[in-house]
Amino acid sequence: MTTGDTAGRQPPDEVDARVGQWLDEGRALDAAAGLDAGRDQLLARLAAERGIGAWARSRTTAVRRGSWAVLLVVGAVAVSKRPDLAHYPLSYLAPAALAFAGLALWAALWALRPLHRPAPHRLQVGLLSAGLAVAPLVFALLPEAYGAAGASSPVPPEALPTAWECFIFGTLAGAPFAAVGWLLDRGGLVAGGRLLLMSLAAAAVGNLLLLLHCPNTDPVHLLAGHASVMVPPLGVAAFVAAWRRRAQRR
Amino acid sequence: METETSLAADDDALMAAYQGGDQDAFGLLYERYAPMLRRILRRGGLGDEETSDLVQESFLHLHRARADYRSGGGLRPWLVTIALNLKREHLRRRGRRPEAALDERAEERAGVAAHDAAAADRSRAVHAALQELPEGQRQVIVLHWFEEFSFPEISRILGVGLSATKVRAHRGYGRLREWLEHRGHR
Repeated sequence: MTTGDTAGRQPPDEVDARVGQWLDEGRALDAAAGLDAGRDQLLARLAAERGIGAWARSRTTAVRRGSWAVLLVVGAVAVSKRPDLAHYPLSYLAPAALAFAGLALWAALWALRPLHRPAPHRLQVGLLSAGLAVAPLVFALLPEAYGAAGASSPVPPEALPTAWECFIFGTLAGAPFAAVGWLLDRGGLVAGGRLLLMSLAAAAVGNLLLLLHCPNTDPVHLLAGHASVMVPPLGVAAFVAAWRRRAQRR
Repeated sequence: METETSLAADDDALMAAYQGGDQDAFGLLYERYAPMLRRILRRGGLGDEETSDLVQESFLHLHRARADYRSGGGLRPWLVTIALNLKREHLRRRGRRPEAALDERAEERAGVAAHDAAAADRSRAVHAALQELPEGQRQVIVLHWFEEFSFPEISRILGVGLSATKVRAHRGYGRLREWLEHRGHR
């Protein structure tokens, strides 16, 4: 037993003996708490921990997070086929790409956090989620997105993809990142905060891949086809939250 | 001190064995720490079924996170952090429902005899008083008084600063003293 204020049973000075004695009476039913009702179920669940998901979840946190990060880099490099890349202003492209990639990675790291570390505060999760949701909107509205680049783009207008094509591409391109996140998460992304963060991270990756792939610089296209990729995860999160509130009222 | 140190060393040995594939080591760890987690979760206001589910989930997470454990890291606070984080996520999904009283059927199963009924009543009174504390203060007192964690350990488990932990303890113990005085407990 350690001493001083690190001692387990030495109370702070303001705890008198009466309070301590009374608290100790709370131990009378500790034997009841010791009864084991879930051991067999637990052993059954452990026996069922097989397959690629179980293997992925049991990697260290560094490996799980690192795997997702590597996938992000590989995806970005593989999809970087923007035909006007040489003409597109780097002063816009670089900050936008770094913002989408950075926010996506930050959200994924938090979603894949181990439970033996304290959780981030709800406000922090909320702020990060808001940043993820708003970033594509902000970048789509910047005049640099379609200013000089749009005027000098070598891509003929008839070759430009339409908004709905990009929305589908961005959503589908981001989906594997959500799927891998689900595989890597030790809780199956059941907790609401984790699910929201990983969904938004996947959508941000979708935006990043669109940025690196799509040459259309029309502002309406950027809003309707690129930034809109953030809507499905927000919609799913709102639906799940409403469903839970309804379930709690019953 | 020696007992705590040897227990911690034993935990490290068991975890190392479990990381190496020894399932019996997991069983020993379960027997050692499942009762502790149940006590902490029950005193935190959860019902029997919820407690049982969360204890299972905690050990399932221990299994999945076993590669993360480093010798000397302290398995006891590690496991409690997992349990309390799972509890937080569970409470958010559950919403604010009335907290559970102690299950009298559990007392029957434990063989709490009639002559222990007075002790059981007093224990329930302590449980009720703990439920009236704010969550942060209750967690500190449960971990500090009942499970004998040090303030630095509690600070790491809860993810709050050491000063904040001590402030919670000070306020929690103060409230309990007032609760006692108002109800004329001797």
